[in-house]
Amino acid sequence: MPNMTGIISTNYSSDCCGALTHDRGIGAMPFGGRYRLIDFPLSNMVNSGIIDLGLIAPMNFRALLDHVGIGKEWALSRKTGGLYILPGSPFGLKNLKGRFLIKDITKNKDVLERLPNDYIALCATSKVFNIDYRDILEFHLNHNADITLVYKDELLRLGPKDYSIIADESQRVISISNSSRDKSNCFLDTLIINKVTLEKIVYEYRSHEHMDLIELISKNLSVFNVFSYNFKGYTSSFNSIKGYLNANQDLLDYKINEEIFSKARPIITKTHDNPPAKYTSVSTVKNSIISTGCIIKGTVDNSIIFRGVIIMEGSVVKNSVVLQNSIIGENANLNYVVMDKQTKINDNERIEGTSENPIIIDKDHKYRKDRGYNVKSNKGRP
Amino acid sequence: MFNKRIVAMLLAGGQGSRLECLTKTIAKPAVSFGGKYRMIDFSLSNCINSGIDTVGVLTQYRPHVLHTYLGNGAAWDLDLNEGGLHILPPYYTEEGGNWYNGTADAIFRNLDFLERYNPKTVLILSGDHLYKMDYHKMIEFHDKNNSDATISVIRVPLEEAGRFGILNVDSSYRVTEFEEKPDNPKSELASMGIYLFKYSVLKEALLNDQQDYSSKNDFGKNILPNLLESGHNLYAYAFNGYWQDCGTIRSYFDAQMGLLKDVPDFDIFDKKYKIYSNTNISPPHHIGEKGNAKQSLIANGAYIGGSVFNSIISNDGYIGEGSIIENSLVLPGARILNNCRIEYSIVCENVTIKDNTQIRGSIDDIKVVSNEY
Repeated sequence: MPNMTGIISTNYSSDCCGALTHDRGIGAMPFGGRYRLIDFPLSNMVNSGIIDLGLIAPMNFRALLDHVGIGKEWALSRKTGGLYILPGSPFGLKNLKGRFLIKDITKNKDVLERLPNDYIALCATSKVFNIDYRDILEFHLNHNADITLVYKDELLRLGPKDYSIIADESQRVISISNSSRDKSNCFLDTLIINKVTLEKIVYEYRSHEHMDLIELISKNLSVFNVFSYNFKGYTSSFNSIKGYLNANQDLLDYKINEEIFSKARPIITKTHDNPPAKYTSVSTVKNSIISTGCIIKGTVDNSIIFRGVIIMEGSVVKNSVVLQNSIIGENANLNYVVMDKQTKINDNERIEGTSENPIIIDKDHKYRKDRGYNVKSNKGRP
Repeated sequence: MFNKRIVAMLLAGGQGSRLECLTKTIAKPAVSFGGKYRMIDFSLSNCINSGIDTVGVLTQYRPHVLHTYLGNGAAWDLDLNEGGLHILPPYYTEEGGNWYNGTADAIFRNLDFLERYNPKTVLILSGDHLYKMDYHKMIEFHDKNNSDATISVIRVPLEEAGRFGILNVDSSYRVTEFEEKPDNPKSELASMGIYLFKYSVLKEALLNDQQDYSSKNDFGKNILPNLLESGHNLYAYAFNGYWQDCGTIRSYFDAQMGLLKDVPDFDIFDKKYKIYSNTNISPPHHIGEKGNAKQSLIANGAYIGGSVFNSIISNDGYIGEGSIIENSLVLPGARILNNCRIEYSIVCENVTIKDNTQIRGSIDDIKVVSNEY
């Protein structure tokens, strides 16, 4: 067992995906057919042997805790260690800037003190990758670092909350900035920090609780040994509904799919006891991911279909993401659409988004454009 | 002593030799079914859906996969403080040890387990039947008639009745005669191998059966006919739903093909009556650029690079590019590489079929493809 406590922060909000992120915490955001974003950091930590795991929950924790529960699926319901649900501060809901509020750590420092590990693996839940924290810890120890920040040295879709990291040849961090967009060396919201270092920062900034840990680290680069670890694996990140669609579609690449859902380090999620997906004699499907409990009678192409979706005869679904238990009636036509959970498309409806502007079908059954919340059309809807 | 009203005993120790190499390394109840299930899921789901929360599973033949699969019963919500799922293998005593020697012997050797729960009624089940049944309706019938033993029966065409254990009954469904595979059947009521006993009657019958050295220690052949002979109240409970014994390659194959119909014989999509299983956590299946699927069931973790028609691809199955799978069952973890053609076949768990292989069975001759193929 590694000498690490895991902390996953989900206490921040995002408005990046319009109606999809409006009502649910980012950790509960559905992804890849049967997963939610929280599954990735949670499974990564468990697969790295971490059994002391704190989950900082947002105030609107229902969707998140419905999913995670007491961590049974991740084998975190145990006598020694296990999952600690840590209450996040109400401030997190308005926190559109950072991802690791100092206040959330201060409030829960008793748990950190109680747990015997000397290193803390911290991570947020907006990005998708499959990583082994033991590799980062090894790097951290080899460099005698106080803090190791994990980054990806390629162009990622950076949003307002994303930081980019500049390091010297020895991988020592020179600067952390979040002013530039679309820059390389994207910080993956993942770091390892010595427990004593974290305690020191939290103590010294106790009167600045509203600040973000990364902000404080960037102010103290000369005080601490801060190194950066270059993660080589596949990473996806999204800051818009277009990004969300693309990140899901990335899984249609067999290599990426195999890496993210590695057999050696599987991504674990809550099971639903759905039957396998059923295809009928008139279904045509290619280049798609289809989950359990689906009944596919129409045509699906280049799309990700979540659990329990029904697609009726004559309908064509292209370049789309359809979330859980949605229904698409007969002879409907969808292109570049993201359908929220339990939504319905009527017979003969035609909804065309574009690759730049996919259309969200939200739970109120209204069509809303990405970000703008424009009600595009309400014709023919119940 | 918990005083459970009812305890189910699930007979899961049989070899199932008629399933040939499907049961070469795993017990019949652990044989894969319908893409993501194992045979035992249906009986266990019936139990929990009928509110029966105490189940003893008697295991013997090749138990490892079955034991691992059952775990502590959590997948069926059978991990309880009082009751829940218990795995009951044969064990050694101060008088020596023996394997379970027949269905009745298996229950006899676990009388001390039943004694702990002191149930009023004991339900005896098999682990290889495909059906949905509310056992409570059968229990109501059993109680109403003050029956000592109730046998669940299903109507079969009279011309086929000769293949079954047939019960002759009077107008109130009281059993008057047992006939094992009769040449001239008088009734079309076939035993489903599901029995309800008053616990006191069962206990006495099992103790008497042990004294009879000529007995085969079998419920159908010995216990029930003996009870009838000694004047006990035996009733037949007529079940109206779909029921299928999947003990032969033919019935195993046909029952699964029945899932693929537009209106399936057995509805696994029924949300009101869920079939629970201990699923692995694999990603949703992935249909590739040149893949296609029609009239099929495809489970998690599968990759479909080729074409799949009227077939079931189970968990983590792999179908390579250019391969065509038709009227076949691909069991969990099986890999069919590129440009193969598989028809009317069952590809066993974790078998790999190399590029350009052709395996063609026919509707009357289902090929079973194991490692030795």
